[in-house]
Amino acid sequence: MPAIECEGPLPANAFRIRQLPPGRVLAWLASGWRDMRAIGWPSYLHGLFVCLVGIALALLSLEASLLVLGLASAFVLVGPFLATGLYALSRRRERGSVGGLDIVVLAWRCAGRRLLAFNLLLLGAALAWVAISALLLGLFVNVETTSLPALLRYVLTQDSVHFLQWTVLGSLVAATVFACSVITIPLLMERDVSTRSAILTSVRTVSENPLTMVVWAICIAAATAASLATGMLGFILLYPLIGHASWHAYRDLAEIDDQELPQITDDQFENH
Amino acid sequence: MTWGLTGLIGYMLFIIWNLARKSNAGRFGTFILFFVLAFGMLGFIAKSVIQWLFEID
Repeated sequence: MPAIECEGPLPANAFRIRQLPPGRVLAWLASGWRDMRAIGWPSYLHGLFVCLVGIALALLSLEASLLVLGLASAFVLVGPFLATGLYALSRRRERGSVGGLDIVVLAWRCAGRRLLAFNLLLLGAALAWVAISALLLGLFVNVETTSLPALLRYVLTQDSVHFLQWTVLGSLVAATVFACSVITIPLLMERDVSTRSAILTSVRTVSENPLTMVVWAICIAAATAASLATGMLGFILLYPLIGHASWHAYRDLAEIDDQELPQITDDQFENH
Repeated sequence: MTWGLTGLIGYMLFIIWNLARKSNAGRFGTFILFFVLAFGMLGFIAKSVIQWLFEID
């Protein structure tokens, strides 16, 4: 089945976007929680992996403190693609059975090809952001900072206009990446569409639900902040919760006509 | 450096405008505005909490 190629977002007859109130975010989180409880350790394993990567990055930041702020935000940028396995587990549960690690491996093996271009884009954005952040911090932090607490102390007490510009730039990068990715990965995993169409459809979904999507972004940011504040341990629970909830957000926001845009079946999944 | 950063912000705004145009996203600007304001506020609160936690003046 060839991927749908089009200049803009997916055709309106194939894909209808629901307009939802901000309160729906709670329903996504509740569904995500139920998925996580039902699926168990394959879900928590994703959280544990992210927790360990977070600890490794934190240790790296202790060695090179200028990288810390960039790395913390870059972590959020690549979060959606690490959750591919969680989407596959939620999808399997939706069909009435609970999947294990085999479903996760399968999702990575076959969706990996379709997701490759998009994941490389996310990774590129994350690396560019780490480099720009380190460069800007290096330029506007004009005192000797020998440790992470010293750097934080300086950053939190200075009144540099460059710091304000850095935060505005960071918000714009985060908003763009969020809008480009909020439903892109579940969509690419489930339907045979081009990366470009999926990204533009994700942007259109966000523009149809601006307030709901900001509330959803705040939830993700709060979960990330809570995980960082607990020395990364929070990721073990909060990462799978947000991952499964993201699948339910996609389901809720996108009303897709199976005739116009058929689902990739499990058999096609396995034969990829 | 102020000009360089302003240029980068301008470039990001161009990317956002281009995305909105190509995806026929009518209210994308509203989302970006809400997002930047919400995260600016969140950043301000986080900064105050961290200052209080680490007793930084």
